[in-house]
Amino acid sequence: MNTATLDAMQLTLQVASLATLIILIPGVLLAYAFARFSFRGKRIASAIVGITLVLPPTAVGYLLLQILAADGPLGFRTIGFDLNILLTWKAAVVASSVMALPLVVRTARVAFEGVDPQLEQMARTLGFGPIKTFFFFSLPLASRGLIAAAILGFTRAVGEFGATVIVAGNIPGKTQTIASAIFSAQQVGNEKEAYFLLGLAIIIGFVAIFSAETLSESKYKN
Amino acid sequence: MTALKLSFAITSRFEGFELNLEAEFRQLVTGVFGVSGAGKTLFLRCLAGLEKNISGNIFFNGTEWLSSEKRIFLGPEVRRIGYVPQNGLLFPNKNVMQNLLIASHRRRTTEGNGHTAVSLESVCELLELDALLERPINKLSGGERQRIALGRAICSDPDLLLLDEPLAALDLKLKRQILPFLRRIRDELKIPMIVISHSPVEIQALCDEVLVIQNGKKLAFGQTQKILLSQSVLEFTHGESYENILPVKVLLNSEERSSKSGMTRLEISDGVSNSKSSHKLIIRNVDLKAGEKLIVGIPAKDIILATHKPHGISAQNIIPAFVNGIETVGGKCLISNVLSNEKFELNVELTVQGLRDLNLQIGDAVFLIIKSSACIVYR
Repeated sequence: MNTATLDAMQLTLQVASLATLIILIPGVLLAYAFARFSFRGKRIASAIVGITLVLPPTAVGYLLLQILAADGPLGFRTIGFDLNILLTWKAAVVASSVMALPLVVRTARVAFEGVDPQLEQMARTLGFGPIKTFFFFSLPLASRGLIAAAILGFTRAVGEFGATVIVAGNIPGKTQTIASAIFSAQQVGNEKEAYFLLGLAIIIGFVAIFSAETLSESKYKN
Repeated sequence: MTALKLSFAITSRFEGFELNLEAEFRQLVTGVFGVSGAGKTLFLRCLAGLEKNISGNIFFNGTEWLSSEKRIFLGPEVRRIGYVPQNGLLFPNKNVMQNLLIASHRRRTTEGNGHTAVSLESVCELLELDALLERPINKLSGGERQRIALGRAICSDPDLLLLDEPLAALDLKLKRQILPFLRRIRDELKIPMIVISHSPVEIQALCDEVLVIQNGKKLAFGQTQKILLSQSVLEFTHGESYENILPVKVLLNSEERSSKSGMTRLEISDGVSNSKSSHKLIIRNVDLKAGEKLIVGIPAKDIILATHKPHGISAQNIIPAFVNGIETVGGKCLISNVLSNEKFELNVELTVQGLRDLNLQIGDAVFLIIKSSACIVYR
């Protein structure tokens, strides 16, 4: 195993962890809002959050590239300074976050929808306001599903390729992740490395999906 | 705690159903009575602050809970209520103890206004929860859940208990077990309560006044016995025979039990009246302690009415009384009788033919004949 492969592994875990941390809180709040409240434009908001799930990842990557390019809404000519994201590992975090968010929101939403709203009402009658009820009752009651959401989000970030390769590139030792390393290995015909990375990807993916499935089976079902 | 002071005039709509109620509750325990679908649960949820689709006013002990004109809507968390829904709604991620503890967080300290919150220990003792405390929620029976839900509501130190059919989900045996717990909450803790029920027996055993709801509207409201025996209410309870409820005290001592061969002697007494003039009731032996207070139910259809004192009869109880009301509803006659010491009333169901044969008039002296096996003990 060469250093570039090791770097790719390390960067992948780093990018995926950061992306998961970044989207977890907004993702959970969005999921709760979608699960519990009815408001104007809820379906449109839900569709916008979910669209990256069905768009070609390269399309999302291209969109991010346009936003972050020099003349884009977040480019240095528009906001006055350089965010210095494109073609760095930070771009990989941005791309993974955007791609993993819908999966986190969907899974968390299902988790909240599995909590009997009457239990929250019961908490209210016992003197807990809406915010305390959310933290002391809704979150713990949905906790297993929320952990599953985080795991799935993490896995999606680990596997992200299309959007990442456009905004972060595929620079060994700098922005190359497991996904892009497999692509490179295949391109140059390095079968040994490709097999190693493939096995690694399968292990990470299997552990994640297996634990997410286990957690999704509610403990409190009668 | 003092008696309840709750007044309201509310309108609420839920999936095409309209609730429209106005009343003023003044007693310690008020019953809400009606058939399924009458709007009882919706009404209780309105009081709890769980229904947003509501207009009108609610006043509780001088606090405005709801006022549409003033745009006041107090959330459920500030109404200080103990809400016990039909299914109990215990938190499944906590065990019994944790369910009780989480409710205790808003308990007021004893210092200050002289208010004493019931301690967790006494709640456990009163509802016999000690053996259950470590249990997970999914390892509880229906009756246990109900008791814990009640206990949790009391632990939250409420100013008002709202009980939605506390006994409905239970079988007959459990019902007879829980009912006395509810009476204990009333008599020992004196927390004002509003109790929903579709059972006249529960309402009689617990409530000082009753509100009868039909199709979301008030059908009747007033003193329990009067309301339950009124024509309009009897009409929709016809399926269920009226059951007389009497408070009793156990008289027997050990020698008496053996000499009476399997019978238990009770005194019909609310604990206040003079015991000399009180009537005795003999029932089948149940394991009771002398001095124990409980309630006994006697279905109105199981009492025989005689105009002369019968002799040579196997029934154990022959109680002198006077007729003080005759009502005919749907082919049945309900005769209310004041016991001869003028303390208690027993209602007897007769057929129209039976009433005609006896030629009963108000004020007539009669004898009520009750088999010992007709008496149902609630303990």
